[in-house]
Amino acid sequence: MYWRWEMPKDPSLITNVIRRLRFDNDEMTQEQLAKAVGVTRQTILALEANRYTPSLDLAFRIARLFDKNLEEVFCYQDHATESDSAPD
Amino acid sequence: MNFLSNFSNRELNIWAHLLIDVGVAAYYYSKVWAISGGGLDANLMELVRVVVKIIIFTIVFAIIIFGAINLRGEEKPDERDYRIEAKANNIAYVTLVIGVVLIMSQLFLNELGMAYWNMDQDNFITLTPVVIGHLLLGALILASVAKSISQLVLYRRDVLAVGNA
Repeated sequence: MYWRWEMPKDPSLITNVIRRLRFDNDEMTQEQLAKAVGVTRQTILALEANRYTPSLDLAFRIARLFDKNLEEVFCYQDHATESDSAPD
Repeated sequence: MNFLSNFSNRELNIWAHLLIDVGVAAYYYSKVWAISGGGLDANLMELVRVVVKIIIFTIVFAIIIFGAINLRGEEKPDERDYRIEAKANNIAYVTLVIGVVLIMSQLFLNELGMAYWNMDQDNFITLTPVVIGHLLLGALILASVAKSISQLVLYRRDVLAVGNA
């Protein structure tokens, strides 16, 4: 078993493929997506840059809009799990 | 005017709040300083006149500036706005607590200095109720400014990060 003493700086990070999904859906604009899910364009901007973690409610609304499962749109990257499972 | 399109309505509203806070504070304290002849212990009746002027000016200015901003279309706040506001409220609360603690410690230091260290009263700010009121108002304005600045920083940080990406 491999243990790391130090805490990861960013223990969790949720990334997403919203930008790609927008382009796959008739090049939907950020403004259109924002209106469809009921947030501001700035929030979509922050989401696409992985600067903002959405609430579950918003995450589900975005996933359903693109007719996808939650995990097809959002990806949870656990740093600790990644480093534990990494080959020695 | 084109550079304004880079800002959301929410950011412009916060800028307006910040402008009003700083403007009101600058006008109020300059008037207090002038009335009291270089101090904070101003005549109450004259102060009331200044405060009434400030209230009227603030209402008129707020109607004009917030009206102009919202002409671009109203923006409903979303979850990110609420989250940023909550963070900014925390920062404002801490700022307010620090301000109040500093004022209280000044009160205690005044008493201690005069009672135990034989210090002259000229070494301290004379803390009459009016002066304490001015200082508390200053702490409130400072907390409001801290809230606006932290909101602006939190909004811009995301936008700049996207720009650098």
